[in-house]
Amino acid sequence: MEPGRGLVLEVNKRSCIIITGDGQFLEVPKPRGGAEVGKEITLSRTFSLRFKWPYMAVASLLVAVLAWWAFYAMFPRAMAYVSLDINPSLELAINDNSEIILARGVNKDGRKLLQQVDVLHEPLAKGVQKIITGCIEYHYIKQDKDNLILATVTDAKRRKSNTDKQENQEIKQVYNYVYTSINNTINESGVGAELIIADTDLVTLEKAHDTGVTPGRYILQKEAQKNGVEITDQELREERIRELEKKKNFRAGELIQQRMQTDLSDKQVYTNNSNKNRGSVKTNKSELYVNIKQTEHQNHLDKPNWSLALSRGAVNVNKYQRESEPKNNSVFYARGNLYIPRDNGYLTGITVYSQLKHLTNSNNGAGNNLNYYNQSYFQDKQVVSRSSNYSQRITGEQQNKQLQNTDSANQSVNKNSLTNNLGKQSSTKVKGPVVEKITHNQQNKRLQNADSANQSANKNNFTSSIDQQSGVGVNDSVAEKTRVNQGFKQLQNTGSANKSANRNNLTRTIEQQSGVGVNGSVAEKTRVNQGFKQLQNTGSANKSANRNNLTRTIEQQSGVGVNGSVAEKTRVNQGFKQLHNTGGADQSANRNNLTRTIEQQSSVGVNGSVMERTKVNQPNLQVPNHNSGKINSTKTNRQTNTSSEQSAIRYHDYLLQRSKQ
Amino acid sequence: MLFGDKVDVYLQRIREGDESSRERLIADAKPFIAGVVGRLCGRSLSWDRDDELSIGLIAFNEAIDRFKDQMGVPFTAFARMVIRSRVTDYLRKESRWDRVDLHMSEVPQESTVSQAENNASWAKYIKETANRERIEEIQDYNLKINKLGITFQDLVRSSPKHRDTRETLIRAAWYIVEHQTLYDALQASKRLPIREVEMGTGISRKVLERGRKYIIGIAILLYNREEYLYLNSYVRLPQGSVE
Repeated sequence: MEPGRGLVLEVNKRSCIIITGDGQFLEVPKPRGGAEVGKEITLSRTFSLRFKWPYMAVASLLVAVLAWWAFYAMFPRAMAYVSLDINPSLELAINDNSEIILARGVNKDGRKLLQQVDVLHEPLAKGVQKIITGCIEYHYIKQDKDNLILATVTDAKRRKSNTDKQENQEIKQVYNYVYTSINNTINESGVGAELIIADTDLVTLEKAHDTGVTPGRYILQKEAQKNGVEITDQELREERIRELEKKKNFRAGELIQQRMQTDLSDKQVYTNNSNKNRGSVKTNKSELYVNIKQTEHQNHLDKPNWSLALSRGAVNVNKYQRESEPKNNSVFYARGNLYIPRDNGYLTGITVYSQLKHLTNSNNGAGNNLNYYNQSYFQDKQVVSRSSNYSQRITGEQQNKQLQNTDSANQSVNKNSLTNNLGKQSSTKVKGPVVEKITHNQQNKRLQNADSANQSANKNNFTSSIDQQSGVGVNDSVAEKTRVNQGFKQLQNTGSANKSANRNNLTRTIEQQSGVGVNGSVAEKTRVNQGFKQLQNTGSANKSANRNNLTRTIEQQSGVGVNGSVAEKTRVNQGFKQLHNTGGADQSANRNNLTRTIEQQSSVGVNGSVMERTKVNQPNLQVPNHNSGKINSTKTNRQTNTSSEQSAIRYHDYLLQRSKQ
Repeated sequence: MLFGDKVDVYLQRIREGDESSRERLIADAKPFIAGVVGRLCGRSLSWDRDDELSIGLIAFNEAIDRFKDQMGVPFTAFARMVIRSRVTDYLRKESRWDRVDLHMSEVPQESTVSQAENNASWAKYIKETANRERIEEIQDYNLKINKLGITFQDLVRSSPKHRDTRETLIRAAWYIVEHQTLYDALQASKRLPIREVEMGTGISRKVLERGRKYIIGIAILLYNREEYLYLNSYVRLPQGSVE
């Protein structure tokens, strides 16, 4: 009937002739499943009338070539691979635009995480940030634990590590992204973690794949081996790195040659990229407040502690220069570079000068306990803050940031964005780690859920009220409840409440009238259920009522008691089915009478034997079994047929009268 | 005349509770019922005299109630099945005195047949019957066109690809079907009465000649529309002027 389908008229060797719904005769190639006369088939194409092999061949060749070309031209090629071991182990493929084009979970947790966190087609920095945030959210990275993040970067164009070769700027950029986004996210969330970044080549990557691990873990195994520590493949795949460290007594951070210390402090990489090449970065210097709160780090007396700056989103850089030697009670300067990640993944580099005051705590008496007052400068030597009132400054800064970011504020609440600003709506404190934001989000979600919970509560109430109406108590059997539930479902579909109530009452009435007690067997309930279902199908309430009465009548008249056997009930059901199928109420009544008559005549009692019941059942099976013939020759059937004959004549007369009118 | 979408419209209205549609449908179906029962009994029947017809009428009414779209069978075919089985039962019963079967023990022990099984067997019966009848119909149609020297292959070749042309040729076929003399002439001479059709429909001779075989094929399909129920319900051709 639809275009593209046809009825098979004739089947030949290779083709078949069909007629379509719009009266076309077509010869089409035989479908794969074969074709039979009289069966409907679907055409692959509506137009292909007479298939011509050469054309087909050329066409398919063309398609193949096109597909091949498209595959190579358009399939994104990886520029680099980034692997992460947190423990979820993941691997990301990055294209030339630093977008994640492929994300793969290397172990089970990795796959699980990627189901929750969608990083595909995200910029690398954002993707990594999402992954780390996800790890914190799902407690892969734990607040109170010593976490380790092992990351590797593989240059897809480099098969073998070659130190002489000038490194690709883009790969440096990848390092930059990975480092900053991990570091940033970790700092922001307030958890502690050791970050190791190593670089690998394609050969290592392939070997790692053969072992079934990330390149990071593979390097670890190799390096450990060099130091006389054996890690089996199995352990490598299954154990957490931290546990391995404890078990085999080594430090991954010491084993793996990191490039962070050397490369990432290279100021040029950042400043050039961020300020010159990427013109889009706006450097708002007043945004950066470096507040240095000195704690008693005896080993680093001459170094400012950048922790606060880091928590504000700056990226620590290890390069640090003292400008003068510290002396007791003397002021000296120190200089460091800070890099602040931007939303777009780029960095702004700023040189910070710290003025440190070296004091001897005379109250202490020992004279070796030192305090530092730190002052931070920007490149233009402007004093930004003093440690004594840093918290106030932060408040000021916070306001600034809010002003700047009002636009993105709404979004950031929902998206947990990379920036550490928080909108007014989220009312989360500035220092709040990522976890806090997540909690907030979860609350939102819970609110949403609560909404739906209310709804469902309503629904439940509705159900329970129906339960009450239908008189089903708490202690009723499961079967009964099921029945009421079904009733309810159907009620729901019917629309208005009044109607529902009516129907419900009807059901109840049936049950009461049919004398089905609470303790009735399951079979009984089933019967009543069917009755109800059929009622529903009949449409208008009046009709239903009529039919309902009919059912009741049958059951009462047929004298089926509560304890009647299952077979008996089946019989009554079938009787009802027939009624249902016969259509008009008049006819139904007639038929009903017939059924009753049959039963009376055949005097099937409660204890009637199976044989007798079978006979009564026969009329129902007439249509399907009319070929088998012999069934109809029993005495009971003759009676049935005689009565149906009478009714047939009655109906004929009725029709004749109508037609005469 | 029972044909095409009209039946579906009636059935829809009946389902919505319009009982007058039922009566109209039954009235329209009377010739169809008479045809089915008559073919089954092998003689012509009269509404005043023969019980078989009223059995058929009741069976048709039953078919209206039992019919569901999901059966995958056109309503007319389904109704024919019901009518045939009811009338067959009736005929068998009529002849009961000829062969009284006293083997009570052969009554199958089917007391445990569940409702579901019953329904399933009924659905299966419909499906099988429909498949058989559909194949028979196609074979019969093939035979009929072969008699006029046309094969399905010919119909494929002369079947117009453009809808407009096809509709024009189908209009010509209807014209033949609606004029018994023309159809008889076609059967007798095995040739399309082109001049008469041209005069009657205003379709140009060239078009008619080009689609000659297609017109004959469709005309045969339409003429036997009360017999080729499956084909005619599958192929929704534009209807003729009489209906």
